[in-house]
Amino acid sequence: MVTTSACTSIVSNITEDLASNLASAILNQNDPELVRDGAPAYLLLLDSLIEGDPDNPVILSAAANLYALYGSIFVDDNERSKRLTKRALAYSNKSLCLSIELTCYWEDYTYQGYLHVLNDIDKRHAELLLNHAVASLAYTRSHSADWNAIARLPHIQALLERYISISNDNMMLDSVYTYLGIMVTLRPPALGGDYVKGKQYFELAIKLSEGKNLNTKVEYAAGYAKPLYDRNLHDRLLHEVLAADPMETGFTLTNILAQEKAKLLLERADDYF
Amino acid sequence: MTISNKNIWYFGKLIKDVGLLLLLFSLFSFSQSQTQIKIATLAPQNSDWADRFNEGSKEIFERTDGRIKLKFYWGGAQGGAKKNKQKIKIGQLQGGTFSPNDFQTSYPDLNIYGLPFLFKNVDEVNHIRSFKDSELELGFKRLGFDVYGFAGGGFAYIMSNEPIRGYNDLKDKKIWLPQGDLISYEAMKALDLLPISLPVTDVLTGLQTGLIDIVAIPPVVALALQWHTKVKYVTKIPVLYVMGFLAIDTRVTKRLRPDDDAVLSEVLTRIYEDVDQGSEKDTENAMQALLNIGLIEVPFDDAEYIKLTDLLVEPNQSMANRGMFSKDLYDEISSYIKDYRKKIIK
Repeated sequence: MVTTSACTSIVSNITEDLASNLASAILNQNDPELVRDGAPAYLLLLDSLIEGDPDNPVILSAAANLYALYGSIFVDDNERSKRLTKRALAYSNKSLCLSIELTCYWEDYTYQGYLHVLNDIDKRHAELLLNHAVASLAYTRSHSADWNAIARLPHIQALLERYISISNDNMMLDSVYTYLGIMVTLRPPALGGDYVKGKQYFELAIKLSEGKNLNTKVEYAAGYAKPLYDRNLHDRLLHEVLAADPMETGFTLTNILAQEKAKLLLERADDYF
Repeated sequence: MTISNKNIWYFGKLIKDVGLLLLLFSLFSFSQSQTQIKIATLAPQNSDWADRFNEGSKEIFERTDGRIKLKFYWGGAQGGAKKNKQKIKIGQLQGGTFSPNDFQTSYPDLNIYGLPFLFKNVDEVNHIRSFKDSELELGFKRLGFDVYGFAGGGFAYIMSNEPIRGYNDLKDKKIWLPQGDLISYEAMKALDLLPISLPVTDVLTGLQTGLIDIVAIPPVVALALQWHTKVKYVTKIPVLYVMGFLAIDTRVTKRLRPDDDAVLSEVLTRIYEDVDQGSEKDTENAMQALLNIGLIEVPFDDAEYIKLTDLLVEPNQSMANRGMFSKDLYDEISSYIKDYRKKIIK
């Protein structure tokens, strides 16, 4: 009995490591097309690992992360993107529910009730929270025509803010501040968007990654400089992105994608400004 | 002499040819020159509106062989409606998206659909709009604008932190009003309510700090501006009907080739028709999303609704008498609504 349990634990650790290593391998990949072509096989692999261990929150959360990444970045067909990010969110919801019982009923809570539960979540679950925020963002992006998804944007922002207040891990903070920068600048200043805060978030994110996360600069240009019609800032950020070496541990894939986006934004800039 | 005459003839011909060439060139350049129409809007660059306008702009550009180019300034980047109208006047902009309030002084009749508690439901709105829209659109001509239809934004409903079931629940509550909405302000004053006029940017904080207790807005606006996080209840009473439109300076459109102007008009009208037609469903979906997120729907007592509308008859007449909208138009629409209600009851 003890042996069986030990074996289960070992297998579980191996699968958890596999899921985690897979995420690192993907993020360090310098060929986005390879990820586009290859990732579906790993999504199926993660599905099979979940079939074998359906109540493992770590594997569920890792699968949510990969489904969110693939569904929101590599899938052009919106219907497919909707399907895949829906699965990401379902895995993430289950992972959270298995780890923190109160979150099982989140959907039924008012916004204030949701904040109460969120404030009770401590640092042990910080990573799960972040993965849930990422899955939720990916879901919202592909379901942007659905008012139910739009209604939960403030919930995602609160998740990210809670992550910052409880996490001991500084590794992901640049991405978290980038997400927050995007979120507070979604509405223009005239409609209540907080561009002062947005600028602070983007600049802090750049500082935290020491400029290695090129995606932050692209989002800063697209989400802040562009709506404010600040062409100087827009072009400077994007030229910096194009001039940088994208090969950085943990950022390679996103940096290469960021450079592609930067090029596109610059090409269209004359038309916009 | 002959040679000389020949030379003159040649010279003359040369002048004629050059003249013809110049004329042709000027015609050519007229047909090839591009008219850029700069349009300011509050719609964000990442919105559904922006997608529709961008697609429409591309279609106009292609179908006019590049002679018309729409350039949008998103997210209120060019300032508020008042500033945009000034910029249009001096030619810095050629158009903008507006709401009827923005034309309160120059075109008061436009506010008629937005009179508080004028309509009971969207069927009544659709009925009146089916024959009044074109009349209201024509009114823009004398103001020097072309418009391309109206896009309905649904009804503004009451959202609050305490349940609002009747007139007494509204009393002594601080009710938000958009700046410049004179008609709603007058109506609330007449109802002995407490209107608080604030810019849109201050409403979220206002709800949080208790500076305001109630907002009356369409569900889509509540969600887009995230005001739903600061209220608990929604009373689905049709306070007033909201709509918007795009106006372009006729000094620009009348200079366009007629076929280009027709393309511009066709595409922009189609965009407004599409949004208008989808607006009802959009409002329903947004309302449902508000309930799904935990807002509680509160019924408004029928007798209380009648009380409110009765209380507003006199103030509406008084506003009409003071020229805030035309009395004839108000009487005409009120009469149509009355007939429509009778017909529905039958």
